Amino acid sequence: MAGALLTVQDLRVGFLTEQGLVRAVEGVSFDLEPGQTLGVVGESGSGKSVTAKALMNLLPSYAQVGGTVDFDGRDMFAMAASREKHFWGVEMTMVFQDPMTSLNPVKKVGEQIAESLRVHLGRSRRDALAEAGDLLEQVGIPEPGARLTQYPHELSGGLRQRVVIAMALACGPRLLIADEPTTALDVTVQKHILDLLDDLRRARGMAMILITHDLGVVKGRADEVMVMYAGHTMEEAPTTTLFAEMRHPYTEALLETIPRIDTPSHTRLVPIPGRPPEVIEVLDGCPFAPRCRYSIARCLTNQPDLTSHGAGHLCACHAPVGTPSGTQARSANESAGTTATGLDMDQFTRNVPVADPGQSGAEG
Amino acid sequence: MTYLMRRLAFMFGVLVAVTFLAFSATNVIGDPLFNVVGFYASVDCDAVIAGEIEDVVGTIAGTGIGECERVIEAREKYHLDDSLPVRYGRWIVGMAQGDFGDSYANQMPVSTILAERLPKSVLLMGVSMVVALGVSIPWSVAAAYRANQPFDRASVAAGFGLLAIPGFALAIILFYFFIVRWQIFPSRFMDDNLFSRLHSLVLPAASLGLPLAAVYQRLLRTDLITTLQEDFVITAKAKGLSDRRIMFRHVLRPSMFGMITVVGLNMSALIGGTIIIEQIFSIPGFGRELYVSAIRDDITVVLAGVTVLATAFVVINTIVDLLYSYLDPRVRRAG
Repeated sequence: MAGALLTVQDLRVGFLTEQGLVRAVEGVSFDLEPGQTLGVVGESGSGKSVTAKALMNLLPSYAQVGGTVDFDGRDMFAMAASREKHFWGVEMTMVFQDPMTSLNPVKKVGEQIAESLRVHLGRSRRDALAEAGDLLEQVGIPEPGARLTQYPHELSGGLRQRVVIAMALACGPRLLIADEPTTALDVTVQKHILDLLDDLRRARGMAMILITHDLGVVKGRADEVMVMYAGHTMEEAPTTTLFAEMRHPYTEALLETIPRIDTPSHTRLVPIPGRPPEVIEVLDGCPFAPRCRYSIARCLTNQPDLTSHGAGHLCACHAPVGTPSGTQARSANESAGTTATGLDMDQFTRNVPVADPGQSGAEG
Repeated sequence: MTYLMRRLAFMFGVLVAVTFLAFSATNVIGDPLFNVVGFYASVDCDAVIAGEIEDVVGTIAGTGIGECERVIEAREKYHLDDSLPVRYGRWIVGMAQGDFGDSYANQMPVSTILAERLPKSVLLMGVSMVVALGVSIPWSVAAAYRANQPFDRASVAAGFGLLAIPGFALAIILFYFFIVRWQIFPSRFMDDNLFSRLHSLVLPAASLGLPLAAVYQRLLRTDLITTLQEDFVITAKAKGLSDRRIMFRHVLRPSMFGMITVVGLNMSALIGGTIIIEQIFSIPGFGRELYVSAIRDDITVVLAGVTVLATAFVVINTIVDLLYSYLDPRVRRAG
């Protein structure tokens, strides 16, 4: 797409382990326009953090990476190979999940922020510290001058995450990757941090990739959402489209796990039975099929491709939600009591202990 | 500041306890009078003066006259009639004023002996420490980057080898090759100028420092590998910092705890090592003097030695404790 800041095509990441090649990311593609926000949503192990690390060149050397990543006309993997010094940490930066551990405990906050400015922009120590103070002010830290000489352990979790954000903003990045930036924080602080990120993104015109397991977080904040599962893109759409007419059963299931303020009290949340698979072998069918209440026989043998469901709306499913095939598949499964993969349909409505999908049929 | 005061008070208490124990031991186990007047120490001179028994003048192996006068003179000179705490107090006050007493063996003031011998031993220990840290830190860094790869495995094996060789055996091996066969270094201590001193200390310091370096490398390598897996290292990488900068600015400092602790505790091993190494390389240092004095019961010298070593040990370990708070600001608040 013309004008895209970041174009990722067919990104693949594998880790060779003793059990075999773990395929953490399998053919992820997306575009990101300057100033836009992409929300990446999925459970633990869906490959979203690995995708972020691949983009940040943070994967260990034994990771096998494939595909192409183009940042404003520059081939990112070529930059990684030539050990480009002033790209990561300057034009593309990252905010991490746990501010308790992502700051160096033995260095003063000011030094840690100033370090990027000195290394990448060649600022003097004094100038860099002054700029660090400005950055602390921008991220809403009271008394920024006093904070500069404090150590991370002297700050609260919320303040530390603001420091991490200030660090990421130091060199004026064009793309900020926020990997679950609020997961480790108190609920009351989460919204402040998300709003702060949004305000900063708008003020600076930078693009953002917001990674989260919580669909509620991306609603109203992301321009576009990509739902990942087991390293695959399941569904991708403009945010409003996604919430209005979601097509993938996994997206629907994710949404039903979130408590909502507008539902009557004591309404049970609907769990997704089972766990995400560890993708070691190449899957024949859809990776979500064993946990899906829409699954049909074809899901077990043919991996669905991403197909278009309207403007910018892609979904990889044989029986998409809200389409005749999807409705038919679900009602067939409901009347049979089990899905095509043998999953007991009761598990979707009751808060039963999560059992292995293979055994659940016998128990029912 | 109160932390520092408490540390200093603690250090002072330890020193009083150590010196008192050492002083009591040498005064109770042996008879200090014996060291001055020999067998006459066993003569009951109070009874002689009271006229109850005869003086032993000339009766033992034809020695001189007035032995009881000598005994009484010695008792007065060394204040041996006072109680132990009083004598201890007098000794401590004297030391505080720089008077360590005289050597029984050659009547020289102990302070003179210390002044002549101690600097050589301190220099040896200092150079050994430079060798130990100068070898172990770069070695650990190089190994930690390549954890469990061929270089690291080879270095673990080499470290084991170095640990298995006692310092004196290493000293003799080095002595044979570098002094006897290749004659690169002098066979005894050359005290002409700083260069000659350092030149003669290369092999002794290597004998003392290399086995220590192997210990430190094992500790620091492990701690570096652990720290390299911390989240903040990923943050530093994401900031686009070079591996070198991450290692030396972010990882090294929080990884030094284990090693620094052992550096402090190992001081006694280093001090013990100098006694043997000074003997092998003919260095007229304090370790050698202490060894000789202990053999010939030269109590004032031994006591002065124990005091100096205990002080050094306690001071260095206090510095180590203070270093913790420099290395990790989180310790400061806990202190």
